[in-house]
Amino acid sequence: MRLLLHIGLLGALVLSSVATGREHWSLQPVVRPDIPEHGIEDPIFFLVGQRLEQAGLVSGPTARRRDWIRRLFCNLTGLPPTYERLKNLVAFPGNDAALAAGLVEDLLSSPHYGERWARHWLDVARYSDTKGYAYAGEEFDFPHAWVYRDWVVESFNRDLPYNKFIQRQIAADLLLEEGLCDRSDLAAMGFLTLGRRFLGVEPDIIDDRIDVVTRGVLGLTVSCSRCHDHKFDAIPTADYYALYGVFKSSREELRALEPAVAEQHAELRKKTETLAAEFEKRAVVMEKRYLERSAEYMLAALDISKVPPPDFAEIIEGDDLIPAQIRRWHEFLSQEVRGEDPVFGPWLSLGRGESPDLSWANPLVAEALSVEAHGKSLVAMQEVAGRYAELLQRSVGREKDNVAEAWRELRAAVEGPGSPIHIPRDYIHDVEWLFDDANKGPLKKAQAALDREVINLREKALHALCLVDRPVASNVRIFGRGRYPNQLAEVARGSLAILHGGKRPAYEAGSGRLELARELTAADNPFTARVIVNRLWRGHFGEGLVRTDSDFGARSGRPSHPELLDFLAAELMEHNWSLKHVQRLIATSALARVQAGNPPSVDAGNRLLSVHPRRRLDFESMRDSMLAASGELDLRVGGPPGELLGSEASPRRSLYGRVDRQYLPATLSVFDFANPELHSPRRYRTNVPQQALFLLNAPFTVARAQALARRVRSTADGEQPDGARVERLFMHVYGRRPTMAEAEGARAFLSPELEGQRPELPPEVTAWSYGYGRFDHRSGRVRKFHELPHFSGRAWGGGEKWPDPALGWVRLTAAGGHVGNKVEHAAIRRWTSPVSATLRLESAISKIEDCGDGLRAWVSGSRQGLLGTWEINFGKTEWAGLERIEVEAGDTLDFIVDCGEENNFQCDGFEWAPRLETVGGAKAWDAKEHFGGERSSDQVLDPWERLAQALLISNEAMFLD
Amino acid sequence: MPGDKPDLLGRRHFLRRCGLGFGALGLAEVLAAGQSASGPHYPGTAKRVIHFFLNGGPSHVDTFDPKPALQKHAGRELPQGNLRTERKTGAAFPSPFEFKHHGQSGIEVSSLFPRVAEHMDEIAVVRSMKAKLPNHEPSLMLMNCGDAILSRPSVGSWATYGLGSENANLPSFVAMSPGGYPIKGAQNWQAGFLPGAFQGTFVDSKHEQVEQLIEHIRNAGQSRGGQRAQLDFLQLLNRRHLEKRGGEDDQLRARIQSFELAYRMQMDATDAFDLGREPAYLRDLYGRGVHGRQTLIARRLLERGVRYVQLWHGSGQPWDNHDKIEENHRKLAGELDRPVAALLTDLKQRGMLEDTLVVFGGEFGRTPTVELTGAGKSRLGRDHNPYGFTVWMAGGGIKGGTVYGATDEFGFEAVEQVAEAHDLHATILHLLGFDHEKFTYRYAGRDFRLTDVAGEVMGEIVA
Repeated sequence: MRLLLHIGLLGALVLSSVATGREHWSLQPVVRPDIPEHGIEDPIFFLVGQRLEQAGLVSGPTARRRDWIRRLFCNLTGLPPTYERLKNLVAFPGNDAALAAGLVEDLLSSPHYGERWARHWLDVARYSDTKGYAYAGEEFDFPHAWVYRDWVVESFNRDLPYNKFIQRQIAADLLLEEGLCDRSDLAAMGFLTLGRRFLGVEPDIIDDRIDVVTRGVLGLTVSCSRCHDHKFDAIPTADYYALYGVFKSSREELRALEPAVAEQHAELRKKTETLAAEFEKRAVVMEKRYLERSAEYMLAALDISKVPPPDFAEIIEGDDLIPAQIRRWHEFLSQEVRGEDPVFGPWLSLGRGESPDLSWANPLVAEALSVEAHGKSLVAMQEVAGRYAELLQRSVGREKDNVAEAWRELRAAVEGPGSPIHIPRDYIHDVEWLFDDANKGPLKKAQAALDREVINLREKALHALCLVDRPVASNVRIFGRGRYPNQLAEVARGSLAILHGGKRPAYEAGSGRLELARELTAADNPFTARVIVNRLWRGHFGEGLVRTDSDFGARSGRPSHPELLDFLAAELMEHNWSLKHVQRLIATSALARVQAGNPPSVDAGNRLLSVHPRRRLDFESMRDSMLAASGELDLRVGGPPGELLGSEASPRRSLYGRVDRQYLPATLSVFDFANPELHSPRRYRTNVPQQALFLLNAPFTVARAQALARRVRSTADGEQPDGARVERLFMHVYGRRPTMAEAEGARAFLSPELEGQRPELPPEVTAWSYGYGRFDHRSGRVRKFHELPHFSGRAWGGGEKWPDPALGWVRLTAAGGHVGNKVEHAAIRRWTSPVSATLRLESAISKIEDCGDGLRAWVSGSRQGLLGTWEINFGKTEWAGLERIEVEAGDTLDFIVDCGEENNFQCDGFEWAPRLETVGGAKAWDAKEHFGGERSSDQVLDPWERLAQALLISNEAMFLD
Repeated sequence: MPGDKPDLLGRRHFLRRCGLGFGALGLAEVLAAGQSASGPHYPGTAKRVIHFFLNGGPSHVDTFDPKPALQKHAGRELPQGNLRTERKTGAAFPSPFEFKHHGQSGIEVSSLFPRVAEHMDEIAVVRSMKAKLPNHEPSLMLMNCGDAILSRPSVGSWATYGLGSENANLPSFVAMSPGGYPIKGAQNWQAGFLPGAFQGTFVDSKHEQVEQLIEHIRNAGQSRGGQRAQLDFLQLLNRRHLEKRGGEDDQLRARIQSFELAYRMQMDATDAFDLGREPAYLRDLYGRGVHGRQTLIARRLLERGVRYVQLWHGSGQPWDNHDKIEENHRKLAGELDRPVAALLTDLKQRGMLEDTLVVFGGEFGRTPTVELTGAGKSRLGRDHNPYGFTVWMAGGGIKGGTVYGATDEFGFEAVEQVAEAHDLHATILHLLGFDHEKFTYRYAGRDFRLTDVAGEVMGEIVA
C-alpha cells in the first residue's frame, strides 16, 4: 500500500511527498528502546536475539576463541594478531566476556585503531592526494591532503566526540575564531576541500561538497534536488540552493598550521611574496578594465539567460566581456537587498521598466538620473548605464570631497568587499575565472610553485586547505532545472527544511557554515547519529543495519533491527558522542563472538545475524596482513604518502599509500578500493580472476613471499631445520601451527623434483643473443663476442643504469639499440641457427636522432664472413635485405653497429630489427617479436618462497571467519 | 577455432546448468549483492563492440563529410562568419583531399580512406554529431561516459555490466592504445560508480610480449609447471579450509575457482595476444604496423568473447592537427585505413560482422576554416569543432550504405538530425539489446542512466 502510494504520487506535488515522507522511519526521533532486566547485560545480543526468536531462529554457537579474537583485531585495527599474542589470549583463564572486554579495551587504545577507522571515513570523504585532472600549469597534487588524513586518524584515536568531529570538518575556521578548537584542527576541513576540482567549475565543486556533507553525515541524497524537487524525499530544490548559498559564501584558503614555523622557510616566503606581487599586479589590471567597462557589464547582466553558464570551456578573446564578470554583476544586482540600495535601486527599477523613486536614492545617482539635470528623458538603458559608469569611475579617489557620504557609497561598489569590480586577493583557484587567459596563466603558475614548495616541505611546515567565509555572504537564486541561466527565486542560506519540521530557518552568521555544523549535530537531528552508528556496524558485520548506508531517505529499506539502530544512536548521543563507546558495545557483545557460517535458507541474506558473515579482507587489510606476516610491516603512524605497489612499495600500512584519483592503479579497482572520485558509502566485494593474478604474479606478492621465506630461515639459534621452518611459516601467516596433514603436504611440496625452474623461453627467443665487441674489417667478422650482462625486460645492456659505468651506452632493445662509446663496443645482435636452411633477411636500419655523426652497420656470418655493409645517417632509412643465406645448425649471423672510427657516440641510437625467414616462409625469427630473455632482476623462486606465497594468498589468510 | 576448446565450453555449459554460469562466476559476489544487470531487455543484434577512437579529433570535412562549398569560398571569410572555437580561425579552408562516390550507396569518402571506402555499403555515416565543448578533456568524457565533467561509467563499462562476461578467462572490456594513455587516461574507460570489475583493462599495444601487455599475467620467478604445483598445493590448503567450514560456502568456493580461472587466463590471454598464430596473409592484410597489430589482436579478443574493445590511435591526442593538416592527417589515416578495412573484411568472412558493432570516430571534428597563429597567419591546420562532426558505424545491426544527418553548407555545424553523444549511446545500447531509458543503476538514491535524461535511438541507421 505504501509503495503504491509512492508511485501514485511520483512527480506530483511536493506537499504530498512531504506528507508521505514524514511518516518515514528515519524522520522519527531517536527513541531508546525499553530493554528488560535480563537484556541489560548485553543489549545488542538481546535485541538481535529477539528478532531471531520472532523469526523462529536461534543464534549460532560461539566461535572458537582464535577466530573471534582475529576478527576483533581485524575489525578494530585492520591488523592480524601475532602468533604469540593470539596464543596468550586464547589461553586466558577467565570467561569469553572478560577476555573480550580486556582485549577490546587494548585494541581501542592502540594507535592502529584510528588508522583502521580513518580509512572507513576516508571512503565517505572521497579522499585523494591529488586533484584529478588539472590544467594550465596548476599543481596536480593537493598541498598536504595527508594532513587531513592524519587528523582523521588522530581524531579516532583520541575519541574526539563525533559531533565535534563533524563540526570541525565543516567549520573549523569559525570554531577557531570562537576559541572552540585548535589551529591544528583546520586540517579537518579537507573533508570539504579535497574533492575533485571539476576543472574549476563552481556549481560542480559546490555540488560535490553538498553531496559529501548530506550523504556522508545525514544519509540524505540532497544532490538529487539540484535540478528538481527530490522525487522521494521532502527535499525541495530550495533546500539545495539554501546550502549552495552557504558554500558559495565560502572560499578556499591554504593556511599554515603553525605560521611561525612556516615563516622560517625562506623559499616558502619568497614564493608567497612572488605570488602576492603577481596577484596584485594582475588584479589591478583586471579591476581597471572592469571599472572602465562597467556600463557594458551592467547592461549584459540585465539578461543572464544570454550569458553562458559557468563552464570550463569559456572562450574569451581580445575584447570579449568575461562571462564570470557578467555573472558576478548579475549576482550582485539580483540580490534582494539590492532593491533598497540607494546606488543601484534606481537602476533595478529602470531595468524593470518602472520609473525610479529617486527620493531615497544616493544624491549623486539621483542627480545623474534626473531629467532636469540633463534636459532630456532617459530612453535607453545604455545611457543610464553610461551615467552609472561615469559616477563609478569618478568615485575612485574622491575621499576628501564635501559630499563624501554619497561618493563613499559609490566607491564601495568599486572597491568594497563584495563589490562587483574589486577582485578579492583570494586563493587563485577561487577567483581564476575573473582573469582573462593572459593574466590567469602566470597566476596559476605562481600558485603552483608555492603549492609545490609546500608539498616538498612535508612535515616541516604543515598546511591545511581550508574553507573560510567570504567577507560578504550572499544568497543565491534557484537554478531552474539545475541550469545557471535559469535564475528563479532567491533562497536564504540554510539547510534542510526536513530537519525543522518543514520550515527552514535562514542562517544569519556569515556563510552559515557554523550554523550548519551545529544543525548537523543537534541532538534532535534524527539522521546523524543513526547514520554513523550504522557505518560502525558495517565495519564489524560487513553490512549495515540499514543497507543503503548513505541513503536513509524514503527509498531506503527499513533497518533490519530498528530498535537496535536507535539504541546505538541513543547510546552515542548520551555518551557525549563517543564513537569508542559504541565500538565497545558492539565489539564486546556476545554477538561479535558468534561463529561464522552460512545463514539458514529462510534468512539467506543473513539480515538477522544468526551467524557471523565470513568476509574476504579488503585490499588494505590484505596488504597489511601480508607485510605483517613477512615481518616487514613498518608501523609508524602518519606522514606523507608513499607507493602502495610495485617493487618499490613502501612497507608502511596501506592507509599511507598515495591515492591518485586521476591515475588510480588498476589493481586497486580490481580489489574494490573506494573510488576516490565520489563519496563511497560501501565497498563492493567482487571476486574476479584479476585478483588471483595479482596474488599469483605481482612483484609485490612475490617480494612478500621472499621476505617471509627469509624470515623463517633462521632465528637467533641459527639456521632452522625444515620442520621448524614449516611450522614458523604457518605461525606467521595463520597464527597457528600446521596440522600433521598440512605439514606433510608442505614437505611433499618442498621435495626436490618440484623445484622451481626459470620460465622456459620459446626457441625463437633463445635463438637471439645480445652482446658487444669489435668488428674486424680484415676478416669481416666480430673479433670476440661478449654477452651483455644485464636484461631489464626491455633492453639488454651493461647494467641496471644506462649508461653503465663500465660499458657505457651500448645496448639492444626489441626495435634497435644504441652503440657503445668506442669501436670496441659495437652493439651486436647475434642469431644462432637452430636449423640448417636457406634464409632470407629483411630489415631496415635508421638513426633515431638528428645530431652527432653517422653510424656503421654490418651483417656478418660465421660461415660466410661479411655479408653486407651500410653507412647510416639521420633522415634516410637503409634497407638491409639479403637473399639466400645458407646456414647450418649452430652457425651464427651477427648484426653489428658501431659509432665510427672517430669514436663519436653522441646521439647514436638506432632502429634495426632484422627478420630472418626460411625461404618459403615456413619459419621466421623476428628480432622484435622474439626479443627477450631472462630478466636480471628475476630470481627463480626457491621452494620455500613458493610455499610461503601459497600460504600468504590462501583462503585462510584472506578470509575472516 | 572452436575445436580447440571443447573442454572449456563443456565446463562452461556444465556450470551454467548448475546455476553458476562460468561467465558469471567472476561476478558471483556481485550477483549475490544484487549488483549485476539481469541481461539485455530484448535480443540485441550486436553481441560485442569494437570502437576505433581517433583521439584528438579527426577532421570530418577531410574524411567523410565532403564540402564543395569550401572550394568555392577558398581563402575567403565564410558568409555566415566563424563559430567560436578554442582558437582563432580564419578563411574557408577547402579539403586538400579528393572525395569520390563509393559502392552502390554512392557515399562520398575522401582519398584518405580508400580501403575503408570499399566498405561504404556496410557503413552508416552519421554526419551530424554535435558535442558541447571545444576542449579535448570534457569532450572525451562526453563521448565515453555521457557527461563532460561528472564522474560517470563509460559506455564499455555499462555494456559489460549489462551483458555480463562471455569468457571469464579474459577481461570483458579492453582498451588498447599504442605507446601509452590517451588524454584523461583510465577515466576514458572508468567504471565510475559501477563495481571496479567493469572498468576497462588497459593494454599498451606497443608492446609485443604478453607480460608487458597485461599486468600480472606471468610470473617471472617460476616455470609454468612450477606454478601449477604451487597452485595445487594452494588449492589443497583451500579445500581443507573449506571442508573444515562445512564445505558449503559460496564465497570460498568461488575464490578457489577464480585461481583456476586466473591460471588458465595466463594461457588464454597469451594465446589471444599471440599474432604468431595468425596466418601471414591476414597479418599482411591488417598491416604489420602497430595499428594492424592492435586491430588483429582486437579481433582475436572479440572472437574469444570479449564484449567491448576500444582501440585508441595512440598516446596523447594524435589526431589533433592544428597545423599542417594535409601532411598529418595523411599519415594518421594511412596508419588506420588498412587495419580498419581489413577488420571489416575479416569479420565479414568469419560471419562476425553481423553481430559485431564497429564504431569509428573521435571526440569532436575540426573547423572548416583555417587555424591562425597569434599573428594571424595560416597554420594550414584546423581547430577543434564540437558543433559538427562525423562518426560512422558498421555491423551489429547497422543499416549499411546510409547517411544520417548533415552539417551546414561548410561543415561548421550540424543542422539536420542533430545527434549528440546521448543519441549515439542510445543507439549502441539499443543494438546491444537495451532500452537506454530502462537500463539503470541505482546510486546515491537515483537511478542513473548512461544517457542521463536525453538520448534517442537513431532509428534510420538501424537495419
